[in-house]
Formats: sequence, structure tokens, C-alpha cells
Amino acid sequence: MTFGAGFESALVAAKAGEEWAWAALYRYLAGSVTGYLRVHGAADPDDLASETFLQVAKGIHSFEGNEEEFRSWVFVIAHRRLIDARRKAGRRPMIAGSAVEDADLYRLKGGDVEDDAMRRLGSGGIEEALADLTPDQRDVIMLRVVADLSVAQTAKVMDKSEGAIRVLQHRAIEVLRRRAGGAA
Amino acid sequence: MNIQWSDRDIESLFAGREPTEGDLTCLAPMVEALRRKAEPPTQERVDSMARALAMEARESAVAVPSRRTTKAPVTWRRRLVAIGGVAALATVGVGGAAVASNGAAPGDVLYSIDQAFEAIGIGNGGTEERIDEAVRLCDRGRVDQALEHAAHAFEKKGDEDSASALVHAAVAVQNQGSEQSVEVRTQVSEMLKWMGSTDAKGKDFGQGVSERAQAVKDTALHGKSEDAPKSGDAQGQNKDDDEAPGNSDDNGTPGGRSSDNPGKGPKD
Repeated sequence: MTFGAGFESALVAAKAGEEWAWAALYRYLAGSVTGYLRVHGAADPDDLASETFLQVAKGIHSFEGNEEEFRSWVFVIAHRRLIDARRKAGRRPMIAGSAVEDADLYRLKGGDVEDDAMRRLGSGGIEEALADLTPDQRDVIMLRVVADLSVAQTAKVMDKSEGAIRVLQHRAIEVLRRRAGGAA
Repeated sequence: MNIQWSDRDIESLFAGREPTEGDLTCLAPMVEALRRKAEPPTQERVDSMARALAMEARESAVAVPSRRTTKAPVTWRRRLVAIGGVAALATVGVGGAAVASNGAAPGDVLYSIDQAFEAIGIGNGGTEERIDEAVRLCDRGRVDQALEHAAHAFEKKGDEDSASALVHAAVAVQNQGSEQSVEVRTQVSEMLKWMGSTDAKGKDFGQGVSERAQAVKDTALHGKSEDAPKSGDAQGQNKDDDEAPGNSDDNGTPGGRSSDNPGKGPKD
């Protein structure tokens, strides 16, 4: 989904505190942001999404860029809010961006916040399929599909190269396809 | 793992269109179920949030420097620091003095690095520096990362074909896991050094990259490559084989969407 030709004018108006502009920006991204947080197992995705947009509003005057860059920026904030929320939930201390964070969070058995949320999703086996992926592979799939980000945008959110994102999505699709029972 | 799907097929799958590769259609229901998680907000919610966000924006309106704070994170800078910190900076010509002279806040290492790099033009198309970094990664045994790093350099330069060929090679090497062979490492190292030293340009350069990347991929997958170009051949041609090994994979269109690519329609 794209914002359209009016993005630049909406951005200027949003900086000026115009409600119509914030309504447009929120309508443009709230569904994807909330869905991304929900699929990632956030305990209260609506609340977390609201925090994300409030942070966007606080930082809007420092933002310069086009629609794609804005979308990437919002999801970087959403992703970080998710990580912060997990820390506050009392999980093991994690260092942002380190292998420890992902490995420990996603490999916990029983009671893991994301696995629990996945089971609650009741999405016809999606949770089981996604559980087969590594954390980075899962992030790529969610950012590309739920958040509707391009390869370039996903690379910015995950702080990886576009090449790394393509590698991750190739491997994720292979795993998912194998589970779906397609012919090798 | 053989890469069976082009970037175009994957984009079609994610966008809800029919992939040309039939093997991917079995994933369409899952993709659609995931996309449905992005439910649009109610009008009441939009109205209440718009009021709150507009007020927040007005209250936050302070004079800020007109510098971009949302520039794309340059992954290679962080990797460079991870490899060797300030010492690593020195290897690309940015000494500690240059970093310190930017007046960055103590402890804000990466911000200092950003300023330092911008001051001397690194990060704005420094392909040669990135190739050098890729060589160092390869020398340290991080062969797949070296290929990814080189792919990133060509992406920044706009050479999508070379980037795609390198990505495919990186996937093949990654699949070797801890079994990455000395031959693969040697091939990658020679390829990277050729990139840094060749006079080939444009189409010839791209062909040279594709041939070498394909050879790396073949070696990683099958343990042997019969068509590896000689590293000293600036034109990328294989002197022993008149028929250049084509890239058997469909590189398709580069990944990602642009405003010129319709992609999916609006969800609401």
C-alpha cells in the first residue's frame, strides 16, 4: 500500500500539527504496524502501536525523507518498541542487535512469549510454520508481508544489507515451502 | 539448496499475485493469512489518534538542525567497528584524530564514525573501500559475509545484476555452513581482488562478476567448478573455455518495490 502523491504535503502539514495530516499518516500505517506487532507476539499491540506513533510525532520535525523512508523509519521505531516491551516483560536481559537476543528469545521452550502468542493466533498452522524459521527469517517474512515493506525498507529496519535480506527470504521460503509439502 | 525462485516470483508471492513458479503457490494461503493481520483502524480510532498526534507534534516543535537523522543505517560501518573498532577505522584512512576532532559525545562511537565518514566522503559510493572490507572479511574466514558485503556495495552503486549474482553465491556458501571449503574461500578472495584491480567497466565488469560468482556458487554446491575465470583476466573471460558459463538462475528483477512498481493495491 502506498500513500500516494500527497505524501510530501501531508508531511509538511504533520510537522505543523495539522490533524488531517496525522489522520492520513495514521490511517496509512496503523494497520500494518499493529499487525506486525500482533504477529510478533506483543501483549498489547494496539497500545504498542500507539506508543510507536507518539514517538513518530515527537520526532517528526527531525525527519526528512520520502514516503519509503518514512515507512522504514516508523517500522524501525515499532521494532524497537517491541524489543523494549519484551525487556520490560521481565525476560532475560538482552543486548539489542546481538545474537543473544534472538537466540534466547526464540529458542525458549514452553512459555516463550512469541510462541504463546503464535498458538493463540489460531491462524491455521501459520504459527507452527513460522516457528520453524530462525528469528531473522521470521522478521523478514513479517516485515515483507505484514508490514508490506520492500527489500530496501526491510534492510533498514533490520540494519542489514539488501543482499542479506534476500538471502534470508530465500531461505525462509524454502523452509516454509518444505513444511507446506511442496515437491522438492 | 538450489535457488529455484527468482526475486520476481518472491515479490509476486508477497504481493498476493500469482507467482510464475508453481512451487510457490502452496504458500499463497499462508501469505494471505499473514496479510490479513494488518487490519485497518476504525474511523473513531483514526480521529482520536490524529488529535493526540497533532498535539504531540505541535508541542514537540522546536528548532532542530536540518540534518537527516533517518539516513539509512550503513551496515558496513557497524561491521567495521565490530571487526576492529578504531583500529579498523584506521585501515580505511580514518584515524582516531579525525574521529576525535568531530567533537562527538563520549561513548557515541558510531555517531562519531558517521560524522568522520561523511566528512571524508566515505559512505557515499565508496565501492573500493567496501571491496577492501570484503577482502578482509574473507581473509578472516567470513566468506558469506564478504559476499554479502560486496553485494551491498554494488547495490549502493546501482549494479543490481552484480549484486544479485553475489547474493546467490552467498546463499550457496552459507549452506556449506561450517564446511566452507578452502577452495571456495580462495575463489571468493580472488574474485574480490579482481574487482578491486580490474580495469573492466560496465557490461564487461558485470559479466566478470557474474561468471566468478557463478563459479563460487558451483563450487559451494557441488565442490568443484570447471569454469572459474582466471583472476588475472581483466575482461572476465575464461581463457580455457570460449563459452562463458551463464548464470543458470533467473536473477529477475531486483528485489523491493518502487513507486513505479504497482505491487499490491491498498488494503482498504
